[in-house]
Amino acid sequence: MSRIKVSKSPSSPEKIEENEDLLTEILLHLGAKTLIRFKCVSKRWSTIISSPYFCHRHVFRHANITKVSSIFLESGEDDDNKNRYFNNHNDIKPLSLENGSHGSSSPFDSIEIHPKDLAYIVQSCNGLLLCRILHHHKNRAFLPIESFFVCNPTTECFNFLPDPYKALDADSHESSPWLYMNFAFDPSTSSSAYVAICVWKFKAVKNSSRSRFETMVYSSTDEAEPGSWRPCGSPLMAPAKFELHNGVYFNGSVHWIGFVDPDSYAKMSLHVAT
Amino acid sequence: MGSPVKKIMLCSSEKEIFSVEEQVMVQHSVIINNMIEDGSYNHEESKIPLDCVDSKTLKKVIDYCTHHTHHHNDNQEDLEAWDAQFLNVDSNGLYDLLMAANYLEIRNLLDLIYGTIKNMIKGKKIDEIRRIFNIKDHGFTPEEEEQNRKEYPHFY
Repeated sequence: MSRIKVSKSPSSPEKIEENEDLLTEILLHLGAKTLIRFKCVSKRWSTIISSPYFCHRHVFRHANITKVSSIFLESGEDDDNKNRYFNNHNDIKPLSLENGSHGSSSPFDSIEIHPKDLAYIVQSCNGLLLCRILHHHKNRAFLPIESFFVCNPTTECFNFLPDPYKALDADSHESSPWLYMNFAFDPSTSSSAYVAICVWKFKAVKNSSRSRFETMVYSSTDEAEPGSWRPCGSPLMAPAKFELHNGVYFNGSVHWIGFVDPDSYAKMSLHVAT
Repeated sequence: MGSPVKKIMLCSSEKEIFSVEEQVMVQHSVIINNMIEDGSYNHEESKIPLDCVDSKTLKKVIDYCTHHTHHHNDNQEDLEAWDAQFLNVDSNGLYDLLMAANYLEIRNLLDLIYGTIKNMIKGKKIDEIRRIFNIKDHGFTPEEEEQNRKEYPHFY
C-alpha cells in the first residue's frame, strides 16, 4: 500500500514560524514586555516586532485595554518631607499590578542622577513618563537649574528635552519663572512621537483678576526645527490664582483643573497636535 | 415536511470526502461563504478541495463549526469548557488546526487558537521559544547573540 506523503511537512510549528503572516498574528496577541524579550529569539522576529507597521497594528489591537500594568512609587523625601522624589533607582519602585509578572527591574537603572539632585515624575501619558530633575546647583553653576526627560519604562529608553530656559523670551516672564511642564503622547496616531508643552506665567499684571500664561512646544519629531522649542500661538488666560500643575492629556488636549479660591475651581484646556 | 438540509462536500488532503451542512460552514468560514454566495460552488458536482488540511484536522474543524452553530445559545461557561476540551491536543495538532482555520478563514476558531498559543509562549524563555518553533538559525552574528545573552541573561 502506498502511503500518501502529505500530513507531516506542512503542519509543524516550524511551518507556522516560517509563515510571516501567521507569526505576525501570533506576535500581535502578545503584550509589549513579552515582545521586547522575543526580539532576541531571532533576527526575523526582531525585524517583525520592530517594524512601524507591526507597532501600529499592535497599538490598535491593544488600544481599548486601559489596564494599568504597574505604578511607580517615589520613596525619597525632600528636606521639608513634603514632596516625594527619587535620585537613584532604589528610590523608585515599580509596583507591578499584573499577576505572575516577573519582578521587574527599575526602569531608571540606566540613568545617572546626581545624589543631591531631586527627580520627580511629572506626568505619565499612555506608557511614557515625563520627569523633572531639580539640580542641586552649588558648585555646579554650569548646569541648568533643572532639566526634563521623557522615558519609556518598558524599553528603558530616555530622551532629555532641550533646555527650556534657553528658549524663554526674557520679556515674557519674571526673574525666576516656574515652568509647568506637560506632555502629550498618543500611540494611536504615532508610535514614537510625543509633544512637550511648557507653560509659564506672564509677568503679573497688578490688580488683574486674570493671569496670562505663555506656552511653547517641543515635538520629538519636528522636521522643520529638530530639537528646539517653538512658541505655540495664543496665550492661555486663567483666573489669577490658577496653577497649572498636574496636566492630563486626553482627546487631543492637555487639561488642568485648579482652584480659583477655596470654594471654586476652574478648568483649562490646551489643544495639542501630536 | 421541511426541505432537506443542504449539504456541501469537503475533500481532505487524503481525498476523503466529508459531507457537511452548508449552513454550518457558511456561518463560520469566510472562504466557503464567498464560494456559495458567488455561485462558484455547484451543489450537484462540486467538492471543495482542501489540499493542505488532513482528514483528522478537517474532522475537528467540522466538529468545531457544527458545535458552535447548534450550541451558540449555550451559556458562555459551557462553550468555553467545550472549547478548552476541543483544543486539548498536542502541539502538532494545534498548529494543524491553525493552518486549517487560517486557510478556511474561520475567525472565531483563529482567535481561540491564537489565544491558546499566546498562553503557551508568553512566559517562555528565548531558548524554549527556539525549541518550540525549531528555530535553528536565529540569524544573529555570534557577537550579537553573545551581547544579548550578556545584557539580558534572564531572557534565556
